[in-house]
Amino acid sequence: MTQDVFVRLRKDAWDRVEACLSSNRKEFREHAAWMPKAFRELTQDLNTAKSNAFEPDIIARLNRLVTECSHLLYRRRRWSFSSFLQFLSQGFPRAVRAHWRLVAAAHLLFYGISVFTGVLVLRYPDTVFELMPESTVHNLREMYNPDGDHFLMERKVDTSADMFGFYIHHNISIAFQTFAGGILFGIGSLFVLCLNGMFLGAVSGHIIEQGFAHTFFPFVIGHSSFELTAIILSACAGLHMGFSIFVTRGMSRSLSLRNAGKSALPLIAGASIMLVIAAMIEAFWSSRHTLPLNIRYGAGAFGWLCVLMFLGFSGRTPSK
Amino acid sequence: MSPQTGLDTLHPAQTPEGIAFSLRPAGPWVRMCAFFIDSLIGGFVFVLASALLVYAANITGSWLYLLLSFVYTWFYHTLFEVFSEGMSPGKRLLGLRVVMSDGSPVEPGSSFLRNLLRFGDTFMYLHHIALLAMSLSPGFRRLGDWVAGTMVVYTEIGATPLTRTSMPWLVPFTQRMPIPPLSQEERQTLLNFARRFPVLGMDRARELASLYAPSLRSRLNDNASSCPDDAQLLLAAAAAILGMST
Repeated sequence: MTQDVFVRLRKDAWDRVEACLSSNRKEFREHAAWMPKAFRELTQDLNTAKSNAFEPDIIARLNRLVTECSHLLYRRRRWSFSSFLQFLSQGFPRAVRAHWRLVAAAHLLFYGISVFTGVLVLRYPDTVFELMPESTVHNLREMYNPDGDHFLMERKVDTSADMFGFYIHHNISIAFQTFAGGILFGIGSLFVLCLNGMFLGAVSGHIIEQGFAHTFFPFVIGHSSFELTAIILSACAGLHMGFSIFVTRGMSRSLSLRNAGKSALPLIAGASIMLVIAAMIEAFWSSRHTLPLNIRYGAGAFGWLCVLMFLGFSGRTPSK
Repeated sequence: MSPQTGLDTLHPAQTPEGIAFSLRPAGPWVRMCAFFIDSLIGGFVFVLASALLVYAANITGSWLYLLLSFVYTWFYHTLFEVFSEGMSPGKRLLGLRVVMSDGSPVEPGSSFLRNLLRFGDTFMYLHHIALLAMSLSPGFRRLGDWVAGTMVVYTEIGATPLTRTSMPWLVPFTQRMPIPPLSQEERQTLLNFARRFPVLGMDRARELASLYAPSLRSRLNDNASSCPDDAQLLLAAAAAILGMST
């Protein structure tokens, strides 16, 4: 087939597709009946034009039409509430268990550092000033001093909402940064993980040493189960990604990185959902200091139990 | 010189029907411009909205502002990429689009990943990391694109339909010669050369032609007498491919 005959025969079809592509996407329904067929014909045309080596601008035009049509026809839009629930109840805990070695190592590192720092601060109280700026230490003392002003009255609801906004903004940003820092060979994630472990230890140690433990721990235990675990999990996701640059398991580095991205995605997505829950607990429950201590400790312990059971057992298929 | 490798930055892809087509990846500079435009547009809207919310903070409290700031920081690009066919406003203006590296529409999870990793790519405001990664990788991909398996390509939505014109400037060069036995890429290259000839000018055309002419001559068994000039030889070959020599 010569080029001129080809163009003469097919030009109308191309113009039709082009008109459809440039028209409003809302009106696409009217064209839905003939579009898939036209697309298959277009792909044929592209092949014909290529194998006969027709002029470049014909091929360029066909190439463009094929690209745009395939975008229209193969759009993936699988948003549904049930798939979200399925991810939450099965996909996320399965992903955590699949990386259990990494998760366990990160937990050991985090809590190891915080226990070490905590003991250090208890034994040598002045070291807290080496680890944190003085103003932060004073703020902490203010915050958890049982004789402070804010413990005399109940917190208003709108300030709780404000704190919720703040925790979402602050904590999830930290989780995302922890994850993204992992791309630099895992260093960013490792750094944030260790830093947070150190801060947790230093703060706890200092508060215990000041004798404010009975205002601090009932507050922290409420949300710590979700918050700390989520931060550690996002660090795991980042570390997994960073290490995949070195540990390629026989794949090319780019493919290894791509696969790591795929398996890190459920970790970081699940961690951010956990942080939303943590922010809710922290803003609306943990701060209710007027409730009896037993209830607050009990609820906190229940939270830890929930997290452990969920990550450990949710989404397991029953063994036969 | 093999015409298959490294002549241009086109990235091969396939439709699910198994038809090969090519994508044109967008380089760092045009993407930087798109990012700049996005920052301007997004920043402007964000400042307006947050001014409103801060003003309303007496009634609602500041949590709305904090949520908005969080969503703007982390989800501005993702939301547009998922709900606006892979194009944020800046990309739409400059005719760019985010696709999976096989040319299919970007998946929500991948879009989320590549935009989270913006933080890694621009770590401590060192945009050099992204620039370096883009410059060193085929397809101009920054680290986020590597992890998410995505790519930013040029789209030509709304481009005017190409109208094919004959190439009358080839007539003076037309001569009897057999259609050279060339691969498809070589034919395309020759035709592209012929189409651009009026813009190039004779001197530049000779320069370009001298790179390729020896290979063509050897295959034509040309004894260099019929067509001493390199550019003329290439144009004559292009005319022969187009069927103008009869």
